[in-house]
Formats: sequence, C-alpha cells, structure tokens
Amino acid sequence: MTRPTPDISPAALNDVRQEGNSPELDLVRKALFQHVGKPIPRKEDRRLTTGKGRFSDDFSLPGQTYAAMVRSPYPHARILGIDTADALAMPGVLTILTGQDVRDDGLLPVPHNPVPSTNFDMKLTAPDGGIPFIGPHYLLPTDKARHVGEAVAIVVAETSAQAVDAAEQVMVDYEELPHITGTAAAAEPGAASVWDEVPDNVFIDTKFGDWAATDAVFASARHVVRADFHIDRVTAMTLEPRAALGSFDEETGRYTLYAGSGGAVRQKGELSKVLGVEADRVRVLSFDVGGNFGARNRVYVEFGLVLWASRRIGRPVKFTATRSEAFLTDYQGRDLVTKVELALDENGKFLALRADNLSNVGARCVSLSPLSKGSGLITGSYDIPIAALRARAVFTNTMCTQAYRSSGRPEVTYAIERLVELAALELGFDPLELRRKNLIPESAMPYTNAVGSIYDSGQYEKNMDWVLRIADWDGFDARKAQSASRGKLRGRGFANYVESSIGSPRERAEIEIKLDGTVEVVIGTQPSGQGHETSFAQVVADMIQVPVAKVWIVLGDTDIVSVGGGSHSGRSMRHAGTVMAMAAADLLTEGRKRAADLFDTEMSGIEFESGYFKVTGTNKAIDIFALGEQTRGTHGPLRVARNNEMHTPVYPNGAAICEVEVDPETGLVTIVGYSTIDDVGRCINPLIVHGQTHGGIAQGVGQAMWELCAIEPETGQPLAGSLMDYGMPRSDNMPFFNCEIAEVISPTNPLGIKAGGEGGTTPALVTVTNAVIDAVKDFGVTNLAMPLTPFTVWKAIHQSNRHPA
Amino acid sequence: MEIKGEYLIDAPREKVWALINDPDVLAKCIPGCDDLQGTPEEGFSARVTTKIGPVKATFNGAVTLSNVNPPESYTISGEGKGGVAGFAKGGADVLLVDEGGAGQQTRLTYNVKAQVGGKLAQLGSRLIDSTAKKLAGEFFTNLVAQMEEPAPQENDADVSASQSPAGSGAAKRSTGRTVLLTGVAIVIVAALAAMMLGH
Repeated sequence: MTRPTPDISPAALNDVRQEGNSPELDLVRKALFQHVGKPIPRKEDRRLTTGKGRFSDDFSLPGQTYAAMVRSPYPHARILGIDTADALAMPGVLTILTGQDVRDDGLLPVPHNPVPSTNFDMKLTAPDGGIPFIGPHYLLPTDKARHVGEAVAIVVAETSAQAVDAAEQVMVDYEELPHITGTAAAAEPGAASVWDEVPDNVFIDTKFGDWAATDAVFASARHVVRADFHIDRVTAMTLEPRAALGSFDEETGRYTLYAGSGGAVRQKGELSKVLGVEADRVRVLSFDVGGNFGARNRVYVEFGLVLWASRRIGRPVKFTATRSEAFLTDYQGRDLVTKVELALDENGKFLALRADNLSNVGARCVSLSPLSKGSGLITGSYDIPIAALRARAVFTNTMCTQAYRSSGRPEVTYAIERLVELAALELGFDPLELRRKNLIPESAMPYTNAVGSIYDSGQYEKNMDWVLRIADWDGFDARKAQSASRGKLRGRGFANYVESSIGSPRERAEIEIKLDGTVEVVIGTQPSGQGHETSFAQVVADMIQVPVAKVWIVLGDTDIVSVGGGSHSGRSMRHAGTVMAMAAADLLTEGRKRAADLFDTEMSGIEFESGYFKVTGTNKAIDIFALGEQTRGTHGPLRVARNNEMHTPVYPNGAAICEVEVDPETGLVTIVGYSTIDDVGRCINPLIVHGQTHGGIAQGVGQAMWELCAIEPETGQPLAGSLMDYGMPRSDNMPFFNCEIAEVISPTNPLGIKAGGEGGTTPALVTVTNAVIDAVKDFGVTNLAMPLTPFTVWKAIHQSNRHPA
Repeated sequence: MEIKGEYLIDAPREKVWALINDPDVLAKCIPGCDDLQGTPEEGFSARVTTKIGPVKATFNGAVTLSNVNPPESYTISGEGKGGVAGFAKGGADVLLVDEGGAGQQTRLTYNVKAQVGGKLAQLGSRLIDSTAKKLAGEFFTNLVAQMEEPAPQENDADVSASQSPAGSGAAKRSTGRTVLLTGVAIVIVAALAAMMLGH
C-alpha cells in the first residue's frame, strides 16, 4: 500500500479554507494520519451476529396493529372504484384507507426532489428546458395504478394475518389500460402514456457538451466505432425487508416512525411534508439497517401510510414487507439504454465521444441521480477532448428506479470499456495498449473532462500496471492451456474506471466528553453494514487521542441527530470524517481554553499531547475526561457541535481484472479470479474498505452474471418474484478476491478521502462481460448481454457459425 | 403463454361432448372446484381452489363458450380472479375428433392462450406448465370415471369419482407433449371442463 505524504494545499480546501490553518485542525489531522489505516475489527459485529441488532421489525409498541397493502396486479389500470365493505366486516379489521382518503385528508405527495442539485451535478431539464414533471407520488393513487404492485389501499387489523386476509377481500374495480414497460419502447412514438401530462413519456431531455464540434470531429474522423447497450434492471435484495412502525401521540401531536433507511433526517423532512406538519412533529428512528445499496434512501409510501393510519385509528401501526413485496416494490436499480460512438484517429487516439442515454425511472421519478452521475463520466478514464451527450428519462409502467450502488457509473463504465474493446477488435489494436494511449495522465490532474467534470486526482496508468501485476496477466496463457486440458474455455477481462462521489452536502457532528469516561459522537450518516461505529470511532479516538473503545457513535434518531445527509454516493466517511475532524479541533480548542482557566494561564501556553492538556514546560497536565468533569460546574458539559457543507466531488478510480472459465457444453461461467486496485483516497480502516470492495464486487458481478428483474413486455408482468427466479451472488459462486488499495490523497477535503463503498461495483459489470466474451471469442462472439447465464452463453456459442480455431 | 395438448378418450364423440357441456360433470371433474353454475348457452361461473407452487388461492372464474359446433368444437374464453394471488385470462379452442376404431375413440385437442398476472406471474410462471399438466391429468381421470357411471347423478351423489380406479386406462395420453395449462387455464378449464384450461 502506498501512503503518499499528506499534501493538501490550503487553496484546495475550498470548503474549509479558514480552518485549514487552525492549529487544532493541524493537530487532529496529524494525530489522525499517524494512526489511521489500522485494520481494527468491527465493534458492531458481535452485537449484530448475536441477535442484538435493532432492526425495524424488532420494534413493537403497546397496542400495536398491523397493516397489509392491497396491490395492483395490473401494470396500468384505472381505478373505477374500491369496495371495502366485505373486508371491513372481517374479524379484527380496524380501518381500510384508499387514495380518496389520502386526498380527503389533504396529504401531499412525497417531495422526492429527484433532480441532483449541487453545483457539480449535471443539470437535467424537461425537453423544453424547464422544470420536469416528475409524477406526483401520493401515498395511494386515486386515478390509476401505474405498475404491478402499486399499493391502492391499506388495511389495518389486530393481527398481521387478519390484515392480509382482509386485503384479499378488498374489491378493486380496475379498467385495464394499455401499458408500456420497455425502456427504449417507451420513448417510441405511439407508446402507451403513463402520465397524461407527458404523453410521450419522455420527461427529461437534455444535451450536454459541444454538439457542433463533436459532430464535426465525427464527420472527419478516420475511424468511428458504435455500440448500443442496455444495462438492465436489478433490485437491491436487502437481507432485511423494509419495515415500518408508525405511532401518533394524540397528546403531543407528534408522529414517531421506526424505519430503517439510508438516513433518518431525509425521512423526517419529507414525511413531515407529506403529512403537512412541521418537521419537529415527526421523529424518525433508524438504527440497524439490514442492507440499503440505495434502495432505502428515499421515502416509501408505506412509511407515510403507517404514520397516517396510526393517527386515524389512535394506535401504532406496523408494516413489514414480504420478500414478494420487496421484489415488486423496493426501489429498483439501473435500467439504462445507451448508444455510444467513439471517433479515433489512425493511431488509435480517441478524438471524440457521442452518447445517447435513456434512463427508465419507472412510474414516477424518484431520483435522476443515475442519469446525472453517469452523464458527467461518459468519457471514463480517458482523455477524450470533445464529447456530446443527450440524456433522456422516460416513465414506464414499472416500479420506480433509484440510485443503486454506484448509481450511474457502472452503466457508463460498461459503455466506454466495451466500446474500447470493440474499437481494438475492429481496428486491430491491442486493447490494453489502446487504453494506455488514451488514459488521462497523472500530470493532467486535476483534469476537466469534456462535459466539465473535474477529476481531482489519480494515477490511472499506475493502477493499470498494478492490477495487471497482481492478476498475473502475463501468466494467462499457461492458465488458459491448463483450463483447456480440462475442456474449459478460459477468458480474461479488464476495465479501468473512474467514478464520482458527491452526495448530500451538509453534515453535522457533535462530540461530548461524558462524565462516565466515554466520548459520545452524534452524526447524521446511516450505516447499513459499513461499520461506522468502528471507523468513525477510530477517527475521533485518534484525533482526540483516546482509546477507540471509549468512543460511541450515536446515529439514527432525529431527536438527537438534527442534520445529516445519510449514507449514499460514497459520502459518509468523507463528509462525516471532515466534520468530525472540525468538531474534534473545536473540542481541542475548547479544551485548551478550559485547561488555561484551570491552570490559570494563557491558552497559548497549553498544548495537547497523548490525550493530555499540558502547560508548556511544566508537569501540570490533565486528561480530557478529567478536564470535562472538573470544568463541568464552571463551563458546562465539554461538548462541541459543528456543521459543515462540502460540495466538491471526489473521483475514486481504479482498475479490475476478472478471469472466467466457460464450459462450452453447458455455457456455465465460473469466475476463477478477480483482482482490483481501488484508489479510495485516504483509507481509514483497510479492513472495512476491503470488506466494502468485496461486497461491491459481488454486487456488480451479480448483475453481470445472474440478477435481472425480468418483465414480460406483452403483459407487463414482473416475472422475478422470489429468490427462485432471481439469481444472487453467493459465497459458493464467488472466488477469493485479490484487492489492493491505492491511496492517492484527494485535495478536496482536509482528510484526503475519496470513497470506498462503490468502487468494487463500478467496473465489475463490464470486467466480467469482457472476460466471458474473451472466453468465447473464438466462436465469433463479440457481444453478450447481461446476465451471462448459461443459456445466454450457450446460445451465443451455438448460434455462431464459427468453430473455435 | 400458449399451451397445447391432446387426449385420446375411449368414448364416442357425442358422449364426450355431452359430458364436457354438463355443469355437474364439470364440477365433479375439475380439481378443487366447489361450485360451478351456468349453462353452455349462458356461460359458466366457477369457484376453484388450487395451489400453484407457493401460491394458493381461490379463483372466481367466469367463462363463456363461443363458436359452438356440436359435437365437434368450441372456444372457451374467460377470466379468473384470485384476489392477491393475481388473475388469469385467456381462452382455449377445444376440438373433438372422432377417431372411430373398435373402441370408438375421441381425440380431444386443446389450444390455450392465456395471460397471468400478479403473484401467479411472479411466483407461479415457472410452475404453471407442470401444475396444468397435473390438473389436466386429474380432470381426465375424473372425466373417465364419470363415463363409467351410468348417468350423471343428482347433487346428492357423493362426489367421489376421483377415487375410482384411475380410469382403467380409459384415458391415454397421446404421444407427444401432454401438458397444459397454466394457472389461469386452470380456472378456465375448470369452468369449461373441457380440459384445458386456460391459462
């Protein structure tokens, strides 16, 4: 592992310029950099693996009732009426609420705010350049069901079984309407309209880059390579299905929601708007979360429904999704159709890139993050001087899509890295040499790409060399021969990647030295397996020089955590680490002040070392806990709170290699090797970063190999409704990973962090695809659509006219 | 989805035709059918409880007959709704061909086109073929048992036809794929009795 010396020019610390020179921040940074990088085992694992986690469904309240949803079996149907009489008469049924009740009670749509809005996000607009229509997301619809699984009524009963039974007796009079589910098909003329407001379904149409210049380069370029891809739809498949327990307190007029999510603060803010109350009337608690991957970042209608139903019946209401409901109505991921073209000169230098990306958001627009993120990265890791992109989004009669682990980046990485392979094949270049020739050199950093994204730092060619070495690229021929001796076809795939991490810009940290000798840190991120309780404790412990075991991270209760962007887009360590560093510096400032008072000296005469405040040049010293205790009477609790806002994105990057064996008789693909180099910026806990990388790889490989939310176009019916129909990565179909962390310090934040949660996923789709195509290339196969199931591969082998050489 | 199949039945065509148009016979022969009303002219409505893989549901189905050409062919079309289990809709063309021969055999051919939705589609699609095959097998077994009874009995009869020996080989699977239906088909079939169902 390399560890370049921290070299953060104060000018680069655009958000923290003033703090950049404070002696305390220098101190905490120095302390942190001395200690971080230790592979400390996760504090939370014992609790989580011994059944002591606090997941949403673990919470129960006295008098609690249970909700079940009545869901549409049709992809598109007008709701002519809902007859609840029979169901209401069933045992234990307390209430049944429909879309009409939602309107009658004046509830508002979920304010999804889907258009990414930081200064660094690509600006997506409606076709006329204005604000896009996103499709109001009421808790229940009154007019139409717009996808299979859409909740059209909620039944609340004394028991869960009674609620489910009664839901079955709710008679909904549907008038079936023409439907459209396919991404490309929805943008075709004559497709069924999901919303009357957007008859042609295309609600986003934005062009980026210099089209005239791009077209001119293409017109005169020696070579042009083109390809179309569909990065299909997947679902997050969290281990813990989503659940919510809502309670309304008549006396205080407050709503309380227990619901695991990607960040309780967003849930609180948006749900208060749905309910039409001030934000402080809603409290959201989100403790342990059994998987998120993006699917839980946004508000689900069921969260609002249990709160509202609780107010209506005066008792708490709990909803826990079944796995079937999760398949239908968890926010899904990806689903991008991309047409890309690359212009090259006679030497293989990339001249220009042109792309047309079409994102399927489902029945309503919850998030445009995938389209926006991808738009900024269409040129990938390569120096392509000119590029132009058309980015569109369509409504369809499918479940809404959301940012899914590495939102938008695996899609564009797939497009550029496949295109590079095709260019090499068509024009006779070596694929690796073609990449090298066009990689962005380290000397060009920070690099502004053709659509305006500024890559902060990175050593792309070094990543490439490094991964080639650890994967023993040069020894491939011997392994291939060995596989062939067993009748197997061996293939190898390579990909470079660069991605962006932006995320919600605001974060807040509160640090308090408690009387019981512990340090309490309140932070607004939300782990769902990322180990914040360990890595954040590690950061704070190092910075204020106390043992890690004494630091406790508090998160997930909006009565305690007032600000916080949650965990997404690789933002947590960067945002939380930065604001914790600032808060720690504040704490040390406050500590020096108090120590100066205590020892009756000037603040300038107090230094902080090894957890002690000392009077310089004397043996007078006091540790931070004793200081907190002794000055509590005079100064109050030793406690600081700090807000921070950072907009500047960082660009994690790296390279990946996959080796596969294909059984030509059955088409079965076995992944036999997987190596990565991931530049995560400064690495706080390599154990956790490696764990994140491994999980990220599995998630990307899952989409490449097995995962698909199949929808039958003729009927609009989702066909993947259980784990019998939806293949997942498992320990027995994954190889051991060979991963190394590159630490090229980012100049954009005081700790030099990039991100480590998504880099495993970003190149995985295309790396696996490249490997499988390489394995069967002798059959004339040059393209394969994911997922690379045995049937897909077998068909490709058998449909080719060629026999292996 | 589309399901095709045929059965060779050891009975004259007129007799087979009569049976598959008799609501009482249909009610007895359709597996899981606890109610079937109607006439060939007005159409049938039926309630059938069945289980397709993990999805167990009671379907309320209604079918109508068209293109009725006794004793040779008709078209069944209809829809079955199974609440949260989903729905099935579609139709089936049923054809009876007189094969003559010593045993006076009739070849019944069906061709079902159906759509399923909801949980049936998400969880049951993989299982519909095999379920339909099983239900069709039971239906034919029951039908043959009915033929062995001298005459359709009134409602007081114990519906035990399915317990009679499995047809002493009276219904034989024709060569080739047998098969059938799908969940929906089941509903429709039930309703129709013909055998097939629809999916």
